[in-house]
Amino acid sequence: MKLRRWIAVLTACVTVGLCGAAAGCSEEVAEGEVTVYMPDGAPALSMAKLMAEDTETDGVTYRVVGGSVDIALKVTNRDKEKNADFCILPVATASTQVDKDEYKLVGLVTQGNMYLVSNKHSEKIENLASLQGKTVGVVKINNVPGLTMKAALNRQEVAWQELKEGISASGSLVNLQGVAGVDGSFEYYLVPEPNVSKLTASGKFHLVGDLQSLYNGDSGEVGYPQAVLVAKTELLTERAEWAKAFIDKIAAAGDWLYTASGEEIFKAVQSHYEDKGVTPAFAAENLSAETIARCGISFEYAKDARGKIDGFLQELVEIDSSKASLISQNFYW
Amino acid sequence: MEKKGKKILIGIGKGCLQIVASFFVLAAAWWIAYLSAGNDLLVPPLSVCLKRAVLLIGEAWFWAGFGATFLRVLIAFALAFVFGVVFAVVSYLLPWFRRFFSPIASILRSLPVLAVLLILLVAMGTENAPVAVAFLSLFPMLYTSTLTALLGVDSQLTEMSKVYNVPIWKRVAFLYLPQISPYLIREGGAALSFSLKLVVSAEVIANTYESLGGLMQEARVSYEMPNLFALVILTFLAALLLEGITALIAAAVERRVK
Repeated sequence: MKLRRWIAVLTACVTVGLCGAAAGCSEEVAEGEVTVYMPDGAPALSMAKLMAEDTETDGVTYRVVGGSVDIALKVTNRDKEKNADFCILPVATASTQVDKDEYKLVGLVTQGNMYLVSNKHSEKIENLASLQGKTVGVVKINNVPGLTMKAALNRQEVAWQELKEGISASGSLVNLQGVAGVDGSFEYYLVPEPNVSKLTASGKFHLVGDLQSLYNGDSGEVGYPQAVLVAKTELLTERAEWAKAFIDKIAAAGDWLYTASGEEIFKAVQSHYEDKGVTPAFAAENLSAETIARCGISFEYAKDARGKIDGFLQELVEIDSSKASLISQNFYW
Repeated sequence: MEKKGKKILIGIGKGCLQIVASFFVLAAAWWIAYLSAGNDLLVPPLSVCLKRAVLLIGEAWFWAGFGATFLRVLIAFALAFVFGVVFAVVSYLLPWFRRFFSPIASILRSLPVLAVLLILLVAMGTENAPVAVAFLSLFPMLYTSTLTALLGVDSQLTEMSKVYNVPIWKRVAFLYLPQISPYLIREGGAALSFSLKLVVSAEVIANTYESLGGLMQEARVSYEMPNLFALVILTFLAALLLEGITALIAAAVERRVK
């Protein structure tokens, strides 16, 4: 009986210890390496050239974070040493989660990759007002896609409502419906690249609207701040020259995507997944020049993009102040 | 008599100590997880989450979500219970039906319900799909439990009741029900608590409006991790309460039957 009791206590302790340790499991990075983290999809594509040229001796470790792991986890560790040296993350997340003393915003990496698709209509949407009376399915309506759509509608002064229990679709408003996936039951869907290419490749969906143009209306401008690059202040200060040269390399990396093959790009990204079991955001065969162009990869230095970012964050704050916040000028590099 | 009373008190005391000890172990596991994770976005401090849970109890929107979720749980459980019992009784009475339904029950038992949820969301919407998911999981469980309980009824007693032409209603009321009800109530309690877990999980994926799962999803998207963990703690306490109540009812029924 005594032995059984001791075995039970020992088993409980081991289980508790393993559970706790499992929560803290993370990949160990060699000391001295500069770490660069980015979410899968367009941000990973923006760094694909550097990942293709990555060697074990260049002093930089790249990691693509996929699946349901939140990129914000890479910049919010209590042990600052474990935080990424460079990180690409959504501008809204950067505004709320990043320590503004620990990091500086060094540049805008992607400037919009969301499109309207439909399996019921094939006419192009020239302005957001033409969506009045229609229902648009939005995956992650409470996150960046939904916020951006709402910001675009507000900017173009088009009235909208979010469909929830007790609220039915209106003929005079743009109706936004949160959906778990694109199933074709609604008239339109807001979808990011590279998912757009997957859907249109199936032949069942048509690409009918470019949110990047629709957001700006008749101004002729295209895009909005979507993903930004942040870097540790310490790195920018102590290794200023190296950091500047590295950021310049990132800025110039986008053009390579149009000369490399889909297979090369896919391999470059996939070989740097943090979790090897994650389903990739895109497939090699979907990485045409058209798809890449739709990913909105266009680097702009922080000092040049400051006004654009501030304006966009203001729009997001007006929609939902829990998802975005205004940032001080000190945060910009 | 005094000795018996003392024994009961010691038993209750030991039971309480064991329960408190298990909560301490859980708190220790949380503490280890908190230190290992090193990131409040991953595992926030337990004290913050507990404080948030207490605050949530005072919020009307929490109770609106909890109420809606609980209603879905009850509907799913009630449907699964009724269908499970009916199918089990038919299977008990008609062996050919038992053989016919057996592969269907196996398929339903091994169905990956959260994957099926993605299909159900299209057909049934975000409010009803969690109910359907819970029903699909609970129905085969309750069917099997009820059938097992019925098949476990003393065959000598059933033979005797047939020989003496005991009316069917008397057989049900005085033979079958007393023998199967304590077991069914316990299984039902476990199924009810399981239903809560299933419905909430489905609501998280479906992002159902005004639901515990929807609140959890919203908390996650807003990086309100203490809120998320507080909601998980409250869900866990609700499940514990459900199991506790049904265990007490089962014990009371058992004592009455004996």
